[in-house]
Formats: sequence, structure tokens, C-alpha cells
Amino acid sequence: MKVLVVEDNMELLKDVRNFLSEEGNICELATNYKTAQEKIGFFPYDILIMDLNLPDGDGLDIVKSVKMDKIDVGIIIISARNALGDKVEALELGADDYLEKPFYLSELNARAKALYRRRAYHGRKEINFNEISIRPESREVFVNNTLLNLTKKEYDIIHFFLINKHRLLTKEAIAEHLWGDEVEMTDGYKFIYTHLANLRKKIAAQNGEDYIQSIYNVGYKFSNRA
Amino acid sequence: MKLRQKVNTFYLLLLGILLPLLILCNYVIFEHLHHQNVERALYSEQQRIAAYINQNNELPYSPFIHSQQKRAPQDTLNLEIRDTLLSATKNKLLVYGLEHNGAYYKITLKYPVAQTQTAWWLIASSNGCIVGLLFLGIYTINSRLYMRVWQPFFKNIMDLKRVDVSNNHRVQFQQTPVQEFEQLNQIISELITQIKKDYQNLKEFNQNISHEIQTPITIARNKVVLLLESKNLDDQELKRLEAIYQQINKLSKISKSLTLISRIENQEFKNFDDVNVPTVIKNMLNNLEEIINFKGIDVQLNLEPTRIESDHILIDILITNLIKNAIQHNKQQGFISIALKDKALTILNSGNSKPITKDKIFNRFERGNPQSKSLGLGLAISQNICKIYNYKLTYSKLHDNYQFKVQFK
Repeated sequence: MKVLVVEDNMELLKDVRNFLSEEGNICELATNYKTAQEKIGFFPYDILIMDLNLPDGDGLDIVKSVKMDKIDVGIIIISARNALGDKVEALELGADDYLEKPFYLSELNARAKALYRRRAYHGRKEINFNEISIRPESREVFVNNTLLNLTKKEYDIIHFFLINKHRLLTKEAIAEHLWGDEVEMTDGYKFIYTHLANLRKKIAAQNGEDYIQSIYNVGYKFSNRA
Repeated sequence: MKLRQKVNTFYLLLLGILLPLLILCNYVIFEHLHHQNVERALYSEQQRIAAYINQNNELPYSPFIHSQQKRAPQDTLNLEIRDTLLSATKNKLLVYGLEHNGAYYKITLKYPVAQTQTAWWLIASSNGCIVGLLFLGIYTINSRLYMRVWQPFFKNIMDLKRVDVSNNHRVQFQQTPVQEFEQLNQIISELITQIKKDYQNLKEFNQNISHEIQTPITIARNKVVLLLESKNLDDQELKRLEAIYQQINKLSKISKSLTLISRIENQEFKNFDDVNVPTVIKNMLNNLEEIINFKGIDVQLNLEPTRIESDHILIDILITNLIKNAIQHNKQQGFISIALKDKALTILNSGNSKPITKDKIFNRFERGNPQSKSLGLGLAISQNICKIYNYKLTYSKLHDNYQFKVQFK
């Protein structure tokens, strides 16, 4: 997919670009309102990732103009304005998703991909990883073409893993993905472990390989690479 | 005491002191004048008698003569005025000597002095009348003045009551020709402007801090994750990175929570929703079901239908915080009992650790266990929310159980 990232902080911009590019996406950058407007006007993008506080304007105005000119692009807002009102306003103006700072790159990646799938394939495209395949629209997971019987959270975890394959997902990032801000208790990480154990068992039962690697006790990586 | 009452009381007091003084003064003057008149009358009668004798060579009839007595010629008599009481009536006497046809007389002229009691009474009542009228006049004028002159002052007080530092609405003071009022208005206007400016600055500062801190936190945290992704980290490096990672997470949570507190204190949540409390509680328990099951906590519910008028976001936060608190400070296989009755929410849970002392429990950054990863801001936030709506949030320890109670209005 082709992504335009609008963010005035160069360092964050580069991190987002690197992360998304490594996933095989084409990633373009804009550091201000004016460049963003120009690029959106000239080139087609699948996804627009945008900060709201830009040095020369308000990101919400870009959302407005995109909607007014009927430009077909999915919009994800990344903002430090964490007032609920801002979120509601952005979504009402036509943004598709709103991610509060600080966010994990893996979370942004998951949101961008999910949005892209919804828009391009109406979620009907399978996500594949060797013998594992996921059908997002029906929330089904197959291992060697056998449907797994997963709980909601187990599905969310494996989906998050497959979208961020080969990447380190810290326990905190997984917890935030599964429960949002709700879980800030130490116990939260214990039941990630429980969910993972169950998930591993269910995949193994269908002769699936165990791709879930524990990394330094800080998190997990879903990968077939050593 | 109202200003008008105060002023009127002063006037009344003043006139109350003045009235007897006035009466006394008047009486003294009256008496002095009266005595003078009486004496003058007596002297003029004496002269009339002398003139009559000169003309007619005999003593005239005079209603003033009280007595005339013969006296020895060697007795000399000087003209003398004397006050005397004769048969309960006060009189003035003029006693003098007179020689007529070789006979010597002692003449006493008498003139009654007006009754003192009657005089007193007359003076007191007339003065009382005057003073009463005076007070009535002052009272009327004062009331009018109060209405007219002070009116801008009272209007401004009403306006000041409606001043809200959080909005930009300017207070429009009523113009007044009274210099002092105008001065007061000016000073208050300046004060309000200054307060609003300070408030705005503080708000912006808070917002800026929380805004500006989020982007660096995002970058730092993602960089650490990227570093952790790289292989070949030795144990020491790993530990350091992990510590940095945890601290960044903490920083992010602190800034989010503090922002929330300041937004609550700034009263940015102003909606009045019709909140169905049992529904909020059940939703929250649904969200937290996993953690509850994980800890094997038994949840007992006893919820009466209850609706309250408040911002549903704040009520969500309040109830979440209290329930989370009950889960977090609970033991494995413990219990939570949630009761909603008579507009009061009671959350009772079995305890796990040494509780914080009662008066400190709602302080910011206060934790039961200093090693705990929690920030100790949840209850401070809850307390802030309750303050806004005048709900009463109380904590008590019953044996080994902790109980939080919110009394909704």
C-alpha cells in the first residue's frame, strides 16, 4: 500500500517510514500542512497517517478538504490531543481511525493494514503465514486448512502477530492492543501468557509450527527466522 | 447585616443619643428664658407701682402683690429676687422696700413660674416629633439612595457571581457616576482579566506539556523497542533497556493521568447526561472480566436501578477506577461486593496488602505498596470527580476488607 505520513517531528516521521517500509509499503513524508496538501492533491495514496498539530496548520483542515474534494484515502490521525472531544470531532469529520500518542509502531502498522484491507478488499483478503491463514472478515484462523476454535482474545493476538510478523511485540504493546488503556495492572501481562499458552496448544494440535518466540522476557516475536 | 440596615441602625442610634440631649438643651434654654420673662414682669410691675404712687400718692391694686408689711425704718431692704415654693406652685418673688407717706413697707411681688413637668412634657413631645420626622425622612432618602446610588454596585455584584474563569465571556460592569464605584469596577476588571490570563496560561501550559511530551515519548519508546529487537544484547544492556522502557511507560501514564486531573479540575467535562449507573458497572465488569477470572475473584452484585445526572465520561472513569482498585488490591480467590442502594455505591473487597492511612489514601502518588507499578493517581482522580459533583467519597477498612463508598447526591 501507499502511505503518506504527515508529522512535523522528523525523528518520528523517519521511524514510521522505516517501520512501514520494512513491511513492503511505499511510504512518503510531509512535515507540514502545505506539503501535505500538495502531495494529496497530486498523488493517490491508500492511507494518510496524520498528526493534527502541524507548524502551519491544523490536520483537521486537511481531513475536511480531503472529504470535500472526495479524495479516496483512508485517514488515521495520530495525535497528542487526547481529549475525547478531539477524537470525536476527527472521526465525525471523516477520519477512519484515531491513535493517541504515544503509540507503538506495531499498533500503527496494525491499524493501517486493517484500514487498508477494509478499504481495498472489504476485509475479504486472507492473511497468510506458511501453514496459518486468517480471514479477517469472519475472524477465522486456519492451520493446515483446519479452522481453529479460538476465543476472541486469542484471535486478536494471532491477528496482531501475523500483521506484525518478525517484529518484537512487547507485553505492554500486546496488552494495549488487546485491552486498550484499560489494563495498566501488573496482572495484565500474566494473562497474555495464559492466552499465548492456549494459542500455542491449539496451533500445535493442528500440527502447526510454534512461531511464537519469547524475546528477552520483554515480549514476543512471531517469526520463522532464528 | 445588609448595608441599608447598617446605615439605618447608625442613624437610629445617633438620633437616640441626640434626642435626650436635645430635650435637655431645649429645656434649659426654655427655663432660662422663662425665668427672665418672669423677672422682667416683676420688675416692670415694681416700676408701675412706683409710678402709680408718684402720680396718685397711694398704693395701687396689683394682682402681683403677695404681701405688704410695715417695717421699721431702720431696716434696710435691698431689691431681691427669690425663688420659692408656695402651695405646690413654684413662684418667683420680688422683695423690696418702699417708703410711702413716711411709712416704710416691705413689698413682696409674686409671679408663678410655669409648671416644670408640663414644660418637660411639651418639650419632649415636640422634640420627639421632630426627631421622628427626621428619622422618617432620612430613612426614606436612604432607601431611595440605596436603590438609586448603590444600584450599579449591586448589579455588579450579581455580575461578579456569574464570573467563570474558564470561559472568555467578559464581565460588563454597569457605568456609574460615583467615582469610588468606578474605581472598584476598574480594579476588579483588571483583577479578573489577570486571573483569566493566568488561568489560560496555566491551562495552556498543562496542555502544552501533555501535548509536547507525547511525541518524544512515542519516539523514545519505539526506539527502545527497536533496540530490543536487535540481537546480541548482553544481560546488562538488556536490563538497562528494559528499565528505560518501563520508565518511559510510566512517564507516559503519569502525564496522561495528570492531564486528566487538570482537565477535571478545569471542569472541561460539562455534559449532564442521564447516566444509568448499573449499566456502567456491568459494562465495566464485562471489560475487566478476564482479570477478574484470572484472579479467581468472586463478584457479588446488588444493584438497585439508579440514574444520576452527570458527565458519563467522568462517571465511567470514577467507577472504573474504583472497581480496578478493588481488583488490584485484592488477593487470589478474593471477593468484590458491589452494592448500589439509596443513591450510594459501595464497593467492598477482600484486601491484600497494608492499606494506606485513611487521610492519605486520596493523595496523588500515594501507593499502598511503594514497589507497586501503579501510579497512585486513580483514587486522586476519583476524588476529584466526586468533588465536582459534591459526591461524598469515603474509605473505610473493615477487618481485612477495604470499602469505598460514593454517596451520589
